[in-house]
Amino acid sequence: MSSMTEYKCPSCGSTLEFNPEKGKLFCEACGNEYETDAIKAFMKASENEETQERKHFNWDEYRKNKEEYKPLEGVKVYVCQSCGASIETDENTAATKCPYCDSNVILTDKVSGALTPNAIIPFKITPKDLPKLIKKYCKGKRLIPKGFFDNNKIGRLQGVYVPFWLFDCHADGEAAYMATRVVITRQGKYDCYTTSYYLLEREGEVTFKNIPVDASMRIDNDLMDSVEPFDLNALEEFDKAYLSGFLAESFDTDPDTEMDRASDRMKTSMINSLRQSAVGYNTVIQKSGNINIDGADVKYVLLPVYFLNCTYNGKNYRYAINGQTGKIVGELPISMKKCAAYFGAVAAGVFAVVFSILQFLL
Amino acid sequence: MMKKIFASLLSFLFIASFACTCFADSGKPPWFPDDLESFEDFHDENAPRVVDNADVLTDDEEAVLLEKIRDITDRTGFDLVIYTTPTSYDYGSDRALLARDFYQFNGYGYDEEYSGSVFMICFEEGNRGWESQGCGRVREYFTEENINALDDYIDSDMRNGDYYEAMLTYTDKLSELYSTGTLVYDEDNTVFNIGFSAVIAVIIAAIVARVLYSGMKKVKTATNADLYIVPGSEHIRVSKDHFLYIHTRRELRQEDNDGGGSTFSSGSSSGGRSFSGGGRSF
Repeated sequence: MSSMTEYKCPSCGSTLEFNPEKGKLFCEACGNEYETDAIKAFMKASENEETQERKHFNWDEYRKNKEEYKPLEGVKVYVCQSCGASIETDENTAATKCPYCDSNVILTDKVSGALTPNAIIPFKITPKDLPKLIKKYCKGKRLIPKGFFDNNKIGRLQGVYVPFWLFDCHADGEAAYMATRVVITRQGKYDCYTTSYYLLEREGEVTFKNIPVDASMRIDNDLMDSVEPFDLNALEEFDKAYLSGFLAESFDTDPDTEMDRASDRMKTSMINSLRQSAVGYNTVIQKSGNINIDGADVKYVLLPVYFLNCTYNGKNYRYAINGQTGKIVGELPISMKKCAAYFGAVAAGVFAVVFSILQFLL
Repeated sequence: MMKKIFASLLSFLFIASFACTCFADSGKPPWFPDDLESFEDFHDENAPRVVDNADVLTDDEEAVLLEKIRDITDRTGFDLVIYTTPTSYDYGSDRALLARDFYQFNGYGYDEEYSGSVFMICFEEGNRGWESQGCGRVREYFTEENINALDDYIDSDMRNGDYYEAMLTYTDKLSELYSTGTLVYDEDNTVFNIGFSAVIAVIIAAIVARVLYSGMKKVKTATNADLYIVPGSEHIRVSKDHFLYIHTRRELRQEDNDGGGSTFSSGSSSGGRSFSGGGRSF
């Protein structure tokens, strides 16, 4: 016994009938005719509507590597009493302040827990460079309260090697889009809008390499996303010597969990890539999408970042400075006095100009 | 039998009166001379100076207008009549001719040139508009610029249905025209200019503040991984565009129609007298 498939008209939703003479599907309700392939594609897209799934990839390789992560020898571990950060450094470097919360840290006798990363990007920016970078960063930002950044404090910052997972993945996906093309013609007193509707099918693949996701629970994810990009070509094999004068933290999140963040980013890029191939239409709206991610590989690396904590009006403001490129990110406080002064000055100036013009013209 | 005759007579009278009304509305106005060839100009001192056939004025409003007209006439020696009509009779869209004929055939106008003017509002459906027509020495004042200015002053009230307010403004401005010789439409836009400038100023200041504010926050979640795409790895395997159907929609095109200026003309009435003036539709 064979099953019957009922095709619906994309325009009005009525049931379509096959016209043997034309070899097309015909809608009696609205009079539209469709190619069989187009309706099959439309039905398939409708069935997959709003479903976007991700295959869980094989972490066996990662787990095998994880077991091989060896404890770092000759590393001191500090624990912050305030935020619980576990901060590592070499035997010759002292950590007096927690780089994350600015609290005092105490030295513990715990020497295990630090695992050897796959690679590291050494610091390029030195603490001496920071005042100049901050000054450049503040240029043009007219609403910063006067004297907000304390240069004395900035010059004494300690750089931190932040743990990151780097994901290598292959994304394969398909998406369907409803697209329209509009032609406007003049017919006597009327403007005639002829809209042609299309179903677009796209399938493709993209390979991603070294998508960084920070592996520390204590660090704000958005802050670390924003401090990107790092030049990952500068990755070097880990050497304990790079920790001299700097602090470091071991990962405390599982890549399985963090993969969701990387996966969302890949999915967006994949969908954008498919979408960009739909050209020549007035509107393109995604109808369905299905992205699979596989072939994942992950590396554990340390990337250089400076953290700066400042307080204004009782609120703590936190900044991250890329230790390789000098890029600074963070939310700046706003001086309401300056804001009101700028608003008033601009409003008064514009009012005077517009009013003068209107009085002259009218 | 008598009842039947009486009913038939009543029906006949009703039909006849209805026919007469129709004829009157579409034919010549009642004041149009029976014999145009033998018509002679005359002046009727007692002719009403407010003829509200369209019934848009109250008795009190008519009294106020009459007082203003009397004041203008006493000061300038020019006649003025305000005339409203629900029909244009058989004049059709030639409202200027209707106004001129009304003025001439009803005996308006002082001195040997019958100097004066008529302000007429026609309320006929599809032919609504007003006319100012001047005769004799008033023609010197009824230039295109002055008529335009006069119409500008009352335009808003006319379109809003404030006919009495429009007539008051009209008489005031006509009096000003006779005093100064020229009339310039000088709308006081100060309040509008202040309000408009303030709104623009606040909007632009808010945009500037927003731009300054947006530069203060540089933290956001990364939403894509475009930076980490391996060059040359993007590959679109399937790219099919299926045509589905066509939908057509027609919209009546919006024609540009400012409708702002007055129609100005110099011409003669049916009786051969010269007039100048103009008006607008509303």
